[in-house]
Amino acid sequence: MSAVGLFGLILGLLLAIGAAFAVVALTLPVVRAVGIAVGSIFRFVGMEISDSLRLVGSVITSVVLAPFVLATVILGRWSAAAHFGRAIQGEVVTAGACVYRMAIGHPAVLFRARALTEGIERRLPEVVRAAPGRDRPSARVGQFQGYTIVGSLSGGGSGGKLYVAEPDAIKQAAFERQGAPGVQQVVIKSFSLQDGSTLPQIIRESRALDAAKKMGLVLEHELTNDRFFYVMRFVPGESLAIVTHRMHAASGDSGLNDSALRRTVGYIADVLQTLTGYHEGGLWHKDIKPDNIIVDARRAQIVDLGLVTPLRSNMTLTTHGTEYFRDPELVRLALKGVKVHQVDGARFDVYATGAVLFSVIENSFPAHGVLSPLTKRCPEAMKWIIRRAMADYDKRYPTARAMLDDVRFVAAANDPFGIKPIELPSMSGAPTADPAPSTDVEPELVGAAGPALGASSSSMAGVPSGPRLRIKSWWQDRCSRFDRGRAGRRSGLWLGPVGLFAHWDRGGPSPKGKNEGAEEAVASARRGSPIPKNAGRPSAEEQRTRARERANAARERARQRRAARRTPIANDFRPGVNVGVAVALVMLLVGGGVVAVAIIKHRDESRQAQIEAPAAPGIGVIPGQRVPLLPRAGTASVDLDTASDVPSVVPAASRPQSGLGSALSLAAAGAGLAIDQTVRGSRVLVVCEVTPPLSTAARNRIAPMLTRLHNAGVIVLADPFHDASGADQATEDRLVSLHRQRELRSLDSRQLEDDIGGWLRADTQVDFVVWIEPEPQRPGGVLVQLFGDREQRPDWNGAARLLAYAVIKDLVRPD
Amino acid sequence: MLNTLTTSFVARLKARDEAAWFELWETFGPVIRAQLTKWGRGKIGVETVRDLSQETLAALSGSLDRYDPAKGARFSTWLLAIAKHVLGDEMDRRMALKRGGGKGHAELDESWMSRAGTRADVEYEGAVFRAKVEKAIRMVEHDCDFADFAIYRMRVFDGMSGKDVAVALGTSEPTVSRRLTKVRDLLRIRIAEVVAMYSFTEEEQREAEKSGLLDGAKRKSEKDADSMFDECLCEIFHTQTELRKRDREASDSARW
Repeated sequence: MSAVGLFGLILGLLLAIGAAFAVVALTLPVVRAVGIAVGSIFRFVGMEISDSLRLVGSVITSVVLAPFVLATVILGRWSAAAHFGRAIQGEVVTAGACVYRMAIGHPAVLFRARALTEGIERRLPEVVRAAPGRDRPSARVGQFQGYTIVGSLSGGGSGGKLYVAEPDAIKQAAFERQGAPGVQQVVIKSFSLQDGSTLPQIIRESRALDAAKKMGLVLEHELTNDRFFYVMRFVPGESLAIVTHRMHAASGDSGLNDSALRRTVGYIADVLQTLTGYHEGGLWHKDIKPDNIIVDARRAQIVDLGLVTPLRSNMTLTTHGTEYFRDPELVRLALKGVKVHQVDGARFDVYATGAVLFSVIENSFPAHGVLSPLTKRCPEAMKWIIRRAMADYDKRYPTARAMLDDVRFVAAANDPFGIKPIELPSMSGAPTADPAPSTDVEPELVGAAGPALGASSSSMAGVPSGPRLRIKSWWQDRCSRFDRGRAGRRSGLWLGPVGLFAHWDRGGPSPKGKNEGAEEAVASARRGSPIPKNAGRPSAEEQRTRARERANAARERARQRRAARRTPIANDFRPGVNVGVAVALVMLLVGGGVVAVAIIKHRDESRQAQIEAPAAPGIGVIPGQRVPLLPRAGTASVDLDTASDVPSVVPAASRPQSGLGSALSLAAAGAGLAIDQTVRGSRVLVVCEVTPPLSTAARNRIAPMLTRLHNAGVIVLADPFHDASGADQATEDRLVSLHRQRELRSLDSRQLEDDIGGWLRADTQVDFVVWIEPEPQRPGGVLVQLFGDREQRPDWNGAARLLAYAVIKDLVRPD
Repeated sequence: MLNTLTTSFVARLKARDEAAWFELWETFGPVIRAQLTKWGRGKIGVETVRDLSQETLAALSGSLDRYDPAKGARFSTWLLAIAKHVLGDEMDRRMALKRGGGKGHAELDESWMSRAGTRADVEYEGAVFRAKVEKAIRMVEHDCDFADFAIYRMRVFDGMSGKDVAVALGTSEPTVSRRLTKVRDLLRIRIAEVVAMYSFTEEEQREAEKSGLLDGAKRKSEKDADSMFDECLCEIFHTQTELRKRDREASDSARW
């Protein structure tokens, strides 16, 4: 082989190998795509089958459980009924989810269109869940005096009902007096034991309201034996969560655009400004989250005071709050039993605000806490602020104001992306305002303030040491602020042997009823007169009542704790009718109805078949009426009041002329039936026993019947409506004869049929007898009976049918 | 043989220290939920998964007193066995409810966990290990100076260059490097501690070395070891972040 040939061979091999690689390279993606598609289809089919089976299983389970519900309802075992009802409710939800997935969810996954169903699966439930309740309080709860309810809002998770109301003029004047002018609409948050609220919810909500009211956050509140409500200004707008979704939808996947970022920074600055006011007023909001921030055209405002807590409260920390926006450190401290005044609650609000900022930037929750990565478009300085706010308890911003300074710095910058973290006020060493809590807020009047346990630990660094409190009255749970430097000026007044402190009211009027005894004691001391023995103390009965209330509250707390440890089903326990019970009863009703209809239909069909297939021929059937069939004689009876309408009779002039005659045309026009016999020329004797004067209803029924007979070519004898001259003698004799035949027998008696059959055979001048008489059971009703003799008329079937049609306005099917 | 950290942690659990239980829940909750979701796919909803993962810890509380280290079960297997037991118990309970009768909860004994059916898959073992590392990162975030950890986060987790970090924070690159080293050293210590704390067997304790986090001695240079450590930690961190993200999304779609 020459060198050229060898070169050509090698070149050819190389080309072949290259071509093979090219084919593989080109084919591989196609094969992979096909593989993915096939895999998706198999997965789709598998999921569809799986969900179909699950759906069938749920339906079967529901059907099996339904009788249990019915049985327990009948037995009055409401708890068991609720139990089975919940089980059915779960099955129905499962079945609904299966149907949804089979019809929409799985196909969407198959065609890579998850974005299409995202709205249904995520946003729709959110919207439904956030739907407000009833627009009016229930009658059991009662109305709110001085307010007109105009709507309702979604209640959230606190267990209260939210109503939008308009205060009347008196209320508005009262609000103006307390420094809140121009209140046009308010929100009333109501808790009622009659309406499903629980005592712990009421206690929690009512705890900080005095302080909140002083700050102007709450306009009014009222606590009665079974109801508690408070009134706030109505803040129109949308929640920050909704606004965030909208901003991200407008900005795209990469994150907020510049305009949206600026708005976000402004909203957070508003929130921090408000929080600064809270904290300086001695309050801790404790539930800062996007849903509790309302954004209107101008600014963001904080709502929902359900968890507001005085910073110096002596209560134990609770884990209340919202996951992802609640500092995990708060949970740890609460589990350790730390008191509220031993921590700086403001820092937990700062954490929550950082989490809110994160969620607005990312359109997602900080599921990883402080470690949650920021992946969307965000200035580095803003990332720093978020992380600083969500940092460990003693490393985060010490106050909302410090965070606010940083946020405002970013907001004021022309290019937020150009700011470096080192330039932020908190990093540049610029002193940030960290004012001590205002002294204008009275400590919460709950027990005595204990020592600041654990205040020296590292995690508690920076916790402001609260004021010293002096017990004023153990009985009344009252205390006064005690400041060594100003004890003589602002603290309680020592009264020597009396041992009482005057109420420190900062110049305001003392609460009526609470300090009357003390004031009386002071007055007595000044007068030099003896001091009443029990001055300032409640009576023994009052003390016993309070002790009972405390014991009951403790029992309730214990019950709640026990309930919280139970399984989820036990937690959800509510005896009585629930959705599942209702579904079961509806299922049973519908099922019972279907079965009943089926049985009735079956009975009709059986009866029809029984009548339509007579061993002995007769005149046919009249649906719904008794039709005795005899070998020789036949009768048809009908209640004209209930007989169904049939098409109107075709007038003689317009009847089609055919070989079968007008009678056939009459019947055919009525029901399109082929009748091979005619009754033209047949003679019908009418026996009318209805006593004149006839009622209008009876006349309207009998006269057309006889008209139809005339129109059909039938010779009607003794027609009381059309024979003006009356019946002839022969006819009169026949009528008398028939009356004799009948005697006292009823029209439907078998013997009468036989007798009239015999009479008809004997009298060749009459083919049929139509007997009309009043219906005994119903005044004004008319009963019509048709008698004929089969042997006398070879065309009995057709003739009888036609007559029956004419008489009783109904048709019969041909045999 | 259990190490001191483990025994002290188990002792805290036995003493019903709620903070210890919260730690356990916070650290391994997502892993247990992911595993229960995997097992109960289609049979139980997300809300039930959340309840069951809490019940798993409650059952763990009951089984702690009977735990026998001599059986040699891994911590992850122990957790998994209890989770599976709780799930099975829930299924039995549901079936009993459907039959209209009652069925008592099964007894939990340690022999159950040694059955072949409770052996965990690689994915689960990896998730448990990642949860331990995540716990260590949280501890370091708690212990470290805020700026130090922020530097480490920006450099390693966010992938910024040393120079950019230095510019952003107004410091020099050597300072950034020094602070990185400080955080990294602390991370190594905490990872070793956490892995030891949540390990019942020696095999589990060696997991950090196997994963490349704590095998600095085998590297050619300290720089290589640091790079390897940072890389591994970054990967683990982001994988765990994904797990938490899925967990949150599952919570959001609980109704579906």
